[in-house]
Amino acid sequence: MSSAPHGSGIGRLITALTLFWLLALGVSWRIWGVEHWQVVGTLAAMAALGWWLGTRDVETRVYLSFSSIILLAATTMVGPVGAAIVGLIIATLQPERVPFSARVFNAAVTSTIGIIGGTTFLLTGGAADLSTLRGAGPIAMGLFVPMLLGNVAMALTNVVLVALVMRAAQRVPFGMNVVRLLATTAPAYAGYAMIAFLLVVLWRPAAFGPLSVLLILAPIIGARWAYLQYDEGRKAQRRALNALVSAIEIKAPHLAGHSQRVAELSAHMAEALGMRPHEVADVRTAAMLHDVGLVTLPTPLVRKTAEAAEFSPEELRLFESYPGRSLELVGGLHFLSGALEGIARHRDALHAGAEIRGSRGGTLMAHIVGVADEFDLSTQVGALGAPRLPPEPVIARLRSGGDAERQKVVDALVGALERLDTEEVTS
Amino acid sequence: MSSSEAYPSRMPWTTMVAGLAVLIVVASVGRLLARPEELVHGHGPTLLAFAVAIIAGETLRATLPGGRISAPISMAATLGMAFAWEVDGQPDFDAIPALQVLTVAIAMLLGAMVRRAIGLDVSPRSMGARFVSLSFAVWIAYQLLPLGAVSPGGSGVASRVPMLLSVLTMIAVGTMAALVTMVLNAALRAEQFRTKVTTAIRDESWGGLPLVMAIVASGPFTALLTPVLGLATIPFTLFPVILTLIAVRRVAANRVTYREIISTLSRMTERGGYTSVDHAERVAGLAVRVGRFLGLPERSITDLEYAALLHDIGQIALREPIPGGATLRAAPADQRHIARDGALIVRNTAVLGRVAELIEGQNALYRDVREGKAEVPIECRILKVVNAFDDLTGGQQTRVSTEEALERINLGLGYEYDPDVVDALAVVMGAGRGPAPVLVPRPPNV
Repeated sequence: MSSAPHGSGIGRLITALTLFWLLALGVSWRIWGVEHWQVVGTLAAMAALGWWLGTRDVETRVYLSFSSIILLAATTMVGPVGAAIVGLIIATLQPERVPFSARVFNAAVTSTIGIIGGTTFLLTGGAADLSTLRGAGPIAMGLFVPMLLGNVAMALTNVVLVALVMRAAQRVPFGMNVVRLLATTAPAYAGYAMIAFLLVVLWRPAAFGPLSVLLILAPIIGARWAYLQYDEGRKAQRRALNALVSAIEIKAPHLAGHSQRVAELSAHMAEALGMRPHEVADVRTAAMLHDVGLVTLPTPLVRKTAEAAEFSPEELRLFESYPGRSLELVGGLHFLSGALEGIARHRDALHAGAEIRGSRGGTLMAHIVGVADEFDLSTQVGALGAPRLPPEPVIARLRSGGDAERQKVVDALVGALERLDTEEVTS
Repeated sequence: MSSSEAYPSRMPWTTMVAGLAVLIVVASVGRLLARPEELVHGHGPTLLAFAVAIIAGETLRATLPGGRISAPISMAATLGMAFAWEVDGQPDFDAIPALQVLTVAIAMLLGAMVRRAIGLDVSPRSMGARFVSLSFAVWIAYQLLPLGAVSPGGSGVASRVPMLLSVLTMIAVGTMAALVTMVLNAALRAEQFRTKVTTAIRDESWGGLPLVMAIVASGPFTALLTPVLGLATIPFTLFPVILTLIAVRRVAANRVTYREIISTLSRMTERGGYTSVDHAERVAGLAVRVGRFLGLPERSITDLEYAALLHDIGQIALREPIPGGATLRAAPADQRHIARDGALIVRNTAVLGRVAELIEGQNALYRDVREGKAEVPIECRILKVVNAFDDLTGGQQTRVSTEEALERINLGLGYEYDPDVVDALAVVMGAGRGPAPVLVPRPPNV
């Protein structure tokens, strides 16, 4: 949120939310008030640990957040107002450097989520006094089920608010974001519910009290360590793939930066064509590795393509075998399976009217990578030793003779180029 | 557990664990037969619930990086059973240790059978280590824990003091059980793969620690929750363990993917006709065996393996391939060039810095080490020897070619090659004059 331009849309949203929050807080206070100030205090103190224990999984965007567990526990133990206070403290304590307005917004969101969770819990049969619950049945009806419903309400509120902000800030369609955010956060919310339930039962019905928090911390710290390791591993994989790219560049120095540029361009095109995040990631990977087969060709031949040289038919045939060679080289990597069609067929996609076999998504990917590759070769590298061209004739050439699919992809290229230009200017 | 398998007598740890496991089972059966009226005694549902969790835990165990085995769900369920006392909807759980231990034994065997049935591997060694340490934990918990102290009877701080003491006892017993399992596993692995016990213990604690924390916490969870939730407690208290297990398994899967990428990189020179087929994989396999024989820690072994896989990658930019791809036959200047380009490619990943260093140092002369002119890591010295060996034999590891190659390497002993590494290689290849040739099994590459 921090980097978002603060247009008037955002301003109105923050004002509206803050007003709603104050109203909800006032109403809840009148109806339920706050009991258990000690518990509120303990939970708030625990929330301070949240920033230290939180960890984000870049790939799946799963956020293992201790604060979320504490907030969820608060909705069952200290009522809507207590949960609002805990939420307020959680958001205020977040150490990320965010502008004041964003901090206010976050505080209002988290606190509102607390009120909504607490209210849902009480309205759906949550027990006001948890310490007297005994037996699996009463605990299920008086704690587990209401807490789950509260959790769902909280998750929905969060997703809707975040999607509203994203629409105002980045003009991303609202519906698309809601679905995407729900899909990525649902497993995390289910996990929080299990741990929060464990915490609350330990604390109240099992009467172990505030020390329950310490007991629950041990496995969370362990899991956090493991997830951090996992994250490191994913990053390491990504970087190890870079070694493949730098091998291309050592083999063919004139292609330095080409793979990276094609990857960037392809990813933007895929986004513009409405592909889903994991598909965009596959397109990016395919574009990154589209030339990898070059490393298995004779060095003199690969370097010859940098000069305006004559090629014998055999040489050309050998050179054009590189996509198949790429496939042979990286085809066995199971985590690349989604990207293989783009790597193997990006050259085929350029031949007008060519029939590309494969899945529909794979065909689109091959078109994207092929077009991005050809564009970058013609404008930045100079294809087969030819002089570099300005963008317009290259785009015109790519359009000519292509089918409807091609036109769509070239439109996406034009859009992506514009977006890359603006990004360059703003940054 | 491991009783059914015959182990060579030179494996004292394996013999001890197997013997203890048999002794515990026999003693438990004897105790129950002596007073059969104590058999089960209304504990059927409770024992069954925990047994199901143990069977599931044995089936869903994890293989950690380096091939180590951990069954955290099974251990957590056993500790939960050992600590539980009041169970809502069931009679108080006062089953004697012999009954609990036999339940664990049967559940573990059933878990192993399930694994077999669905085509997964079974490790009697790690089962034995778990069973022995958990049996002691069950027995100690029975002796130490004041019964009923964790039931939510009174209110206020005063009633929580015995509760807290019990929980601390449970944490202590759980920690002990987890640590003893770790040490036993390390000792068994050291014996199996002929590494140093200290190295094995250090490797064991990596990645195992988060699981230990989850296991240790789940015991008291179970004891505290069964009085109010009954047997429905079990899935909830095992949840944090499952969560951690999923994370640890994903870390392990990551390692596999990572190894795949490295392997793909190493095949680039092969596909380009620069190196002979499988040269890199052979050098890596042999380097790992030599490294293990010399007692290198798991981390160094991994780096060594990766460096061995990638040691020739610098050749991809050569204009003409070296005949046979053997760096041994390349001019020293070319060798340096290959090492430098290779290191450059690998260094660009920003995560394989150490591997890049090893690749860069693959040509260093042992003489420089001896004369104190250069610090050459042991991994580089291993790589140099093993690479030369594979270049000389061309992958044909017949007895004659092995001896010839070792002889050729011996000519450069002390000048080019580290004599200790050459000795280790000779032993690993079964051609050494030292100890009798042994077949050192290779742990799964994870």
